[in-house]
Amino acid sequence: MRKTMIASILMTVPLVSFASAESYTIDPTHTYPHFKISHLGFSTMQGRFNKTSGTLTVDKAGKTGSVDIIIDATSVDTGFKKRDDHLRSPDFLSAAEFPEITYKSNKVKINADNSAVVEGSLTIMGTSKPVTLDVSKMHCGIHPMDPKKQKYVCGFDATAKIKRADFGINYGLPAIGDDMELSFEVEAIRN
Amino acid sequence: MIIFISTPSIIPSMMNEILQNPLFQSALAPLVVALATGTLLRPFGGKWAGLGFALGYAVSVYFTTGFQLFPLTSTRKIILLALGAVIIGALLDQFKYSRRYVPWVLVVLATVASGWVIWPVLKRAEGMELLLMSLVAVYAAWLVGWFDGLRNKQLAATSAAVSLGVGTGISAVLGASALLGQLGGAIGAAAGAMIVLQLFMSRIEVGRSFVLSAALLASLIGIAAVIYAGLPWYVLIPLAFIPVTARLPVKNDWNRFIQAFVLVSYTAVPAAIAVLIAWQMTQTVEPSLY
Repeated sequence: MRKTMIASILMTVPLVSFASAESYTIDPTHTYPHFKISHLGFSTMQGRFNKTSGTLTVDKAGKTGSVDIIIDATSVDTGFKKRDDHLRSPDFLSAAEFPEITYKSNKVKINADNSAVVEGSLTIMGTSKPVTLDVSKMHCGIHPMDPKKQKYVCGFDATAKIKRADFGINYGLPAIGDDMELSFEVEAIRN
Repeated sequence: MIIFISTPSIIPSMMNEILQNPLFQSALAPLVVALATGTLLRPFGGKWAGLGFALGYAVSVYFTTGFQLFPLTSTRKIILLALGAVIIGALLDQFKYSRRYVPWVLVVLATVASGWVIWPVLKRAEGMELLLMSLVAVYAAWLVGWFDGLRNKQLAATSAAVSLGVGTGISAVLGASALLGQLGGAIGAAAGAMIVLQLFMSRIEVGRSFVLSAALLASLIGIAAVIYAGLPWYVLIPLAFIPVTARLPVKNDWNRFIQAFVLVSYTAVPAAIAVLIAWQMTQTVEPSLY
């Protein structure tokens, strides 16, 4: 009897944890991955991807969560069409061939000060590598502009560093930088 | 009197600059290596000398993309297929296997190869897009078929390969891929070395190891430039006529230098038309296939 009670209690623990995880859908109008890369050593070129989709889960009680983001590789934008076409070409992203860049993680650790560390897998051109996102300023709450005061939003900024050669993007190395700084502005709406 | 003493650190830096220069990677290196290896291989037989093309091209691949296989991108598929073409061509050359159906088998293999290169996009295509892509895939079959017919016309085959490589390369650069441009240009350079060898040495035969790999490489680079780099598909039409113009008459009693000049001139015309179209079209905001 005693064993059955303990087993029942243990079985409810993950359920409680699961019940407190909230699911969110990425707001594509407020979610943009940005990148910085050395341009032949002269300057640092910046760009972003204009189309992003995906889901998040946030477990505030368990201080954890998950991330599943899909970035449209064809939406790369550096403010100059000719360069964007080149970035979409087989020289770099081969976007027609590999139209999606993804980031997935089930290992999110939310700290007491609402910063977080996300350990996940970034896939570019079919190659997956572990990438850690450092999240600052995670903030969740009712959207102040929502007239019904029902739209619950979570947002955060995150940064990471990668080497493009790790993903098989070798063209122009080392003249065009290998190190890339990534930064993400992310907002997601609770389902 | 001022004496300049170079410090040891300048030499590696200069070497790096040279090795990273696209002209070195896609013109000088394949030309010199194809010339040198073609010369070294000649004592083993005329057809072996033709392998100088493949070795010169391999050096260019090493400098531009490396021999990394994964991720298996379209560009790496093209390099793998070219390697396969060299092996198949060399085997057919060595065993003198020339049944009547061989060209047709090569044409079918070229179509399958082009399908594999564009498969990531082909599997998503529907309707008109699918039809256009199928037509683009026929380009590889066409070039492989015509080049196979040139395998016994040594100067015509190499002249056509020079024009096709250079035309494809420049068009690909205009279509937004410097990498495909370099890989196309390297075909021209390595094939140019074969012309030089033919002019200055006797018993240089390019054979199927050359015509099959050069035609397959150039056609797949052209297709990839259309599908993946935004080159307008109709640029391939004049390029397809290059091996046809290589069959225009050249008098046998002409000096070989004049023959080579005339053949390169013939084949350069459609190549120049392709480049001109690519240049005109890529200046506007024409929608490409992708």
